[in-house]
Amino acid sequence: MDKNNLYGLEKEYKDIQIPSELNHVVQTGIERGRTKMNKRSSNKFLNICASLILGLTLLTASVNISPTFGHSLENIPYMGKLVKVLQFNNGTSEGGTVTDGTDISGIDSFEKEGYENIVINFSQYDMLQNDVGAFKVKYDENPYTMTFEINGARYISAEKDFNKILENKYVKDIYTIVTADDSAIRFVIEFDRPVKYKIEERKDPASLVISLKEDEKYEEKKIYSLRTESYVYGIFLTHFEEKLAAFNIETRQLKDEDGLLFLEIQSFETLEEAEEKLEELSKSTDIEMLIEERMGIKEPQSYPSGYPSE
Amino acid sequence: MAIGFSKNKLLRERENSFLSLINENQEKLYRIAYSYVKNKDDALDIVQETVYKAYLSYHKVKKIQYENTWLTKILINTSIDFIKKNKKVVTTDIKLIENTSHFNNDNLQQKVEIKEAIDKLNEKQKTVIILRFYEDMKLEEIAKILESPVSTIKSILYRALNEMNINLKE
Repeated sequence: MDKNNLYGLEKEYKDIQIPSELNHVVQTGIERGRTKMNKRSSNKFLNICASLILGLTLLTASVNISPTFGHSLENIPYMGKLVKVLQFNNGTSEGGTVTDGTDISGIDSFEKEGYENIVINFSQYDMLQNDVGAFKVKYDENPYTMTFEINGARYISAEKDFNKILENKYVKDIYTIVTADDSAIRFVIEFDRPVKYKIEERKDPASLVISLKEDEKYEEKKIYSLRTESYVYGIFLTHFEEKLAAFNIETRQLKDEDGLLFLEIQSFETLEEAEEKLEELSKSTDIEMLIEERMGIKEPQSYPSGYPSE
Repeated sequence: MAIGFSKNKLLRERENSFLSLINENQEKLYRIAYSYVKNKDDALDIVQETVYKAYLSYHKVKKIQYENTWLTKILINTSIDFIKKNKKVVTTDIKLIENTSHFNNDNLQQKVEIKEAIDKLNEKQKTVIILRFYEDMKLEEIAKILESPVSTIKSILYRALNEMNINLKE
């Protein structure tokens, strides 16, 4: 046997397919650990319980009797109990439970301990919701975006507060994108640099907390983006999304330099790969596609489709 | 502005650093586990058990530069325990090789033979082969994970390669 054959196995090993359940399995392991740790510390907890109750009684009393202290609590973002810290696999994660009629009702930004944070709240019938609706989130590069899909959401009254998010140190833009069947609401947060991110799902009340820090070590890479032309109305892009869903391609909607919308079908490290995909898809769809070279935060160029005509 | 984090700063920092460690390593953990058991469900079980054990003992890691080594060690021990407990005969999945192959078909038979030879090794030899040739680790790193001198790892590796040669000749 030639020992070099063993080195050839490394590439094959790296190609072992990562199952989509991995995130969930890891999260379950962490939750089991948390539960066990909580049990271990429950005895200690009982010992100090009495003093805590006393403290809580005093706190309640002070809130009730002090208008100033009571008012100061209104400034605290609604951040419920931690359900989980999302685990990302290839930039993608998900969470939440099935809900309907949700309003993405609040969005706020604040800095804490070196992290820039964004907190998102959810309501139903003007009451804060207990659980976050089933959601998906995806982080992409070139440009750096985080796309949220909140299933069961029907309204996004938080859109009026999008300006607050633009004050966040790392946020360049935030905008909603159209979903074809109204079963979900989607929005994109675009960053002005590569970021390290952590997202917490919280309940009672439902909230998502995104913590951001600059990823200083990140080395920007040039990519070749296979994309559509630009459109004024996002609804055209949803037709393309539906067509491309048949090819199992995860697309993303983006804004170009002129604020028009386009669909990035896929991005590649080499021009050859992008051209190959373009040729493959051209045979099976009638979507007008082009390849654009981009890097980092460079704004995607505008290639107006001219449709609808004036 | 006050923020409703419930844990104190130290605990929260530890939790965050643990989550980052797992985030960065979860795919590696899965691949190593898969290399031992050769099936998705068992590999996922091993990863979950590893994360659980690691969560409980993370506070014992004193130096952050060793946490990757520490986590890999837990995974390997969990994988070996799993195989022993379940007494599974793990065989190479030919379909997987065909699907993930980067070589032409002429090499397929040779690759199957290599993988079968790896399957026949004892757990320690298999571990050294996986870490050395799949994870591309240096012998010094493997020595730290297996808590053995580098010279011992070298002799395990050469014995393993030797046995694989014998097996292949059969």
